[in-house]
Amino acid sequence: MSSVSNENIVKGRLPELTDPNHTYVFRSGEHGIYDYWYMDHAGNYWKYSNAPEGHKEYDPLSGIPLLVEEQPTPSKSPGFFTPEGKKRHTSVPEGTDTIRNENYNPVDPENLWYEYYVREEGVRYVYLDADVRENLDLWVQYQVRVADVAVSRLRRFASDAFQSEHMRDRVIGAILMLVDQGLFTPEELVNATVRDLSFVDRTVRLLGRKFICDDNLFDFITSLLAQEDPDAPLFSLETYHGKSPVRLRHLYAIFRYLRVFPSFLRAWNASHKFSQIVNRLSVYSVPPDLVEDKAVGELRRIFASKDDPYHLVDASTRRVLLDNYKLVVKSLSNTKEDSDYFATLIVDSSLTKKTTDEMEYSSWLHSTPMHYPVGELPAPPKEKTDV
Amino acid sequence: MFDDLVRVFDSWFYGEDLSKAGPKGLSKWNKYTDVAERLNGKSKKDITFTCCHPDHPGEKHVLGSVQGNLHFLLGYCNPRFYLADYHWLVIDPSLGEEEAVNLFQERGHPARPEAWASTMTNDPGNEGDIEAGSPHPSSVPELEIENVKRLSSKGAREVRSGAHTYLALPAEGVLYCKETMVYYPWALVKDSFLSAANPEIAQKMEEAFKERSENVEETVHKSSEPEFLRALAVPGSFHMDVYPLIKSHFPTPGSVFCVEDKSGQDLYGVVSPSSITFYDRSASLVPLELYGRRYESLSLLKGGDVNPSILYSLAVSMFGVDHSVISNLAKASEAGHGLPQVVGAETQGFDFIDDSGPTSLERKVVRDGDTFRVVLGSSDV
Repeated sequence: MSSVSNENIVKGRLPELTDPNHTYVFRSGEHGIYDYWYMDHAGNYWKYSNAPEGHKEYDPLSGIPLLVEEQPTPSKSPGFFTPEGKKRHTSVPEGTDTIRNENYNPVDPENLWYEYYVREEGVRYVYLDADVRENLDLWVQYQVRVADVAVSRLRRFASDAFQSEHMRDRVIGAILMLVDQGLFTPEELVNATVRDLSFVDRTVRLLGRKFICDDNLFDFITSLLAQEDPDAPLFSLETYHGKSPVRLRHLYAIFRYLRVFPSFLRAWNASHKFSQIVNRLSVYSVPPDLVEDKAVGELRRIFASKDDPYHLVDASTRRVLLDNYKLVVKSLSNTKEDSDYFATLIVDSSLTKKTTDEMEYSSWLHSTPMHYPVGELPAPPKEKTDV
Repeated sequence: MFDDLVRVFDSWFYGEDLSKAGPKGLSKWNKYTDVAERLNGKSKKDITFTCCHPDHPGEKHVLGSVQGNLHFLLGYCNPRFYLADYHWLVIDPSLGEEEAVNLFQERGHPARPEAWASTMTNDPGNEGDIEAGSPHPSSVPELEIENVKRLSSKGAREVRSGAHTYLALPAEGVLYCKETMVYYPWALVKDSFLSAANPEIAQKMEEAFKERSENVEETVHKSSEPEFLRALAVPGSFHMDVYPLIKSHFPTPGSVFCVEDKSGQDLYGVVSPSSITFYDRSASLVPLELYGRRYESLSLLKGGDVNPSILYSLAVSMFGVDHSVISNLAKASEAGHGLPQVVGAETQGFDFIDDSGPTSLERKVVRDGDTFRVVLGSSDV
């Protein structure tokens, strides 16, 4: 809590209420965990704890709408705001000069970006937070990058939870690892039964997907088979009322705490795997005409799901890899896997950060603009010089 | 059909005496049986393309003809000609199945889009084998535009968000961006501003999403078997000396089944008339080690180098064969149906033979009804 909030509580004052200048726009979230978005006069979005009273989306159990503390404000995070008061999608380092896009137009694909600044690694485009929320392409691109940032945090949390002495924590840790490294969805794991689990020597087969894991996780998963009823939920928690299956809302609350959507985590994994596959195909000198089909086929084998995983691959990743097949691929996921085989995943319970090739991919992802014009990407505008 | 079709294949029969085909027809001619089989069910339309050679713009040529082959291989063909691997066999039937597949994979589509664009003004559309083939990659954007038109005609709802327009496709569970030609799964979109701003579309997408997730019979996306297996899996029938259990319960020759090794990697077993051979995804032969012995392939023949218990174990683990099958087979034999069996009855009348063994290796076959015994003993027996 900030010192301001502590002071308010000590002196008996209430925290900030709804700003009368903020207008309610929409609600996001699911499984009962929602964010309520209001807009100010400048077109900036602000997160609240509830819809206005009387609105159909008002939740009587959530109390009066309050401004959520964990979000950038001009006083706490000035880098998130332009001098005119518009909220940026990311913070600009203090003391950095930004160059405005004079042709900025939120409905022009080529000029969606608001400003840019130059760093050692290259040009960084800055978008308005409102555009990122309202423009679907920017939204998806942004959330993939958010997932990329959250991966290390999630892995540390999952590894710590799995090493806990409490079975409850171990179950949650195992589920998080399987969502992250095993490419399962929370829904699949929550609905999995003992019957869905089998083994081929040291390979675990769960819901049609195969993975190899370290000894600790393998022992844990084999212990799940001790349940006698094959139709019993695979993952369950001991509660005061007895054994209870893990609930989706419980998992989504944890993902919310970790600030990542599981669907975008899956999209991030799909994008990274796709770049690995295309890199491997380039090693095998597969003709460019056949690369996309082969890569898509291999990706589908990895995910083995009803939904086509190719749609999860980040559009800019796919575009760069396929358009520059033999030239650019070395800049993405350069490290070769030990195994040539992608369809058997590796789940490591001690993994707490990104692997080397994931970090390479991450570095590329954050250096790539989020907007996609029809045609080639525009060159950064020339720097203005003071006359 | 083949005999009618083959009359345009003047490149095949250049200098050839067609009377060699005999009364059975060209399709039974040994050198053309493979390609005849691949062309089974195909029509002339599947092998016809529009030429864009400056001297023959817009003319229809057929693969297998001298002119058709020449213009096709030089790239003067429609980029939207859907090329399949068997087209290479039609161009040159002496290639063989495996070589045709390799050419298809390595050579790619021979079309030159720049030549097409410079010569052709009218677009003939898709040609070739649309079901089994694929067009030149350069024609994909045009196909996407047609795809959008097709999707729009199916009643997909259009919605605008930001700079782009999207088609909501509830049945497929995706949103399609018309400008960037990118598909967005509903799982990524449902928490977005677009979803909140279009509640009707969101509701339809969510209902379809739930319906699809509850449909357990919906196909799971998986890639097909490696293409090299197609050349190896030759249809046929089992050798007469193959074990009866295998003949009745194993996949037929020409079949491919998938097994896993200890590390979970997929291996592919190719069934031939007398053996099963295993390959990995890189087309490398995978030897097996069973009970300390190495096998390059598993022989299915009676008296082969594979112990029948190994084959039985394979049948049990892979193809759902259990003990009841064996006992049923035995019962069928006892009733005089099914397969004959040798019933091991206790041998009588050899008490006089001492432990040193028989004095003679003479064998006599003694029959008793449907059973017979091989008696090894002295010449007095």
